[in-house]
Amino acid sequence: MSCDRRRRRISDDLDGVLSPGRSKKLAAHLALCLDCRAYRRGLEALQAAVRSAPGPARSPEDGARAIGRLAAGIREESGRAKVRALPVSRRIRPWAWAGAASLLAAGTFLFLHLRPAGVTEAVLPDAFEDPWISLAGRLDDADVARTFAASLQSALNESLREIQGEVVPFLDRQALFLEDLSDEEVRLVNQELAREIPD
Amino acid sequence: MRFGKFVILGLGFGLLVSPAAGQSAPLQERARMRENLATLRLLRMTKALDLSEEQAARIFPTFNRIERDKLVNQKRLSADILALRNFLRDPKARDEDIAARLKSLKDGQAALKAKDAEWDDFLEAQLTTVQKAKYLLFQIEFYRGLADVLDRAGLHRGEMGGAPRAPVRK
Repeated sequence: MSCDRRRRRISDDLDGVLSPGRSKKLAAHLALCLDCRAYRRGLEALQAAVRSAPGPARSPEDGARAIGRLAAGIREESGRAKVRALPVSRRIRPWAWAGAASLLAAGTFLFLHLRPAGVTEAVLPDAFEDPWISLAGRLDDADVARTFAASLQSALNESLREIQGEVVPFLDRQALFLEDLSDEEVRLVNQELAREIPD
Repeated sequence: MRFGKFVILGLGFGLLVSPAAGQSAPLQERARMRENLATLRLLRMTKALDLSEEQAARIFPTFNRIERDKLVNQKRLSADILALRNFLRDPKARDEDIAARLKSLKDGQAALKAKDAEWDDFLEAQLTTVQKAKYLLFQIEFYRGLADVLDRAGLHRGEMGGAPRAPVRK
């Protein structure tokens, strides 16, 4: 997977919407990738700046300037990370690379074979995930919120059409069904309903 | 559940104290079934939609009012179904009497649907888009749960309107 795609997940992770499985994979990648770590720091700085910004509404021009400053900050941070990385890489000997590769292979093997059975990565349905990933890459919050709401509404309407055939006939007939129960059946249903309702 | 006790109390004032009073034991039991269903629905819905206190304060009174209105129609449906069964067992029953009961039953059914539509429209205006999506899924889950309840009571026949059972109602 490319760093570009992982960076979208960094954004999701910071928003708290990344699944635990993907979050673990992302953490593993961040441990190895200086650029993505720098990108994450930049996004964290962006979030901190937004949180600490004064409350009153700002003009679109202010927003554009702030985004420009933050984008420059991210680039600068990313550049510093690369500069710091160079001396480290020069000191690394070939045998160290071989050792690191062996450790990585052993770690991957252990992770794949020792993780608890039945634990699978939670995956959002494509209809929800894909529009969000593409929208999350944009910086205009109001625009993102509007487009996301429209996307969710559209998915909701589609789901409603799909389940109408399943639910509506059931709802239409359930009143008749319940009113036609005998006294004994009503008593049994009440017993079961009472178990469902907390005291 | 955040509002569980509040919900039960609300329903207690709104529903539980009134309709069953002064009725015979079977009628009381039938009224209790409708009330239990309404209580269970409101409890589960509050949890499923994660309603805020402000939303609950707006939603519960309307829920109570609409459920009270529905109780009148439900009692009428119950009487109409019983009368229809009796007519069909009686060889001397007149067509016009059957037709009149049938019309009353269909009117009652339409009135219930109108109340359900009124509730859905009201609720839709109170919820966020995500809550609307949750409500949609909640309805499916609730009626699946109801099917389980009927199953445990030995009544569920796979689907509403399945093979008719022998009428045993008094």
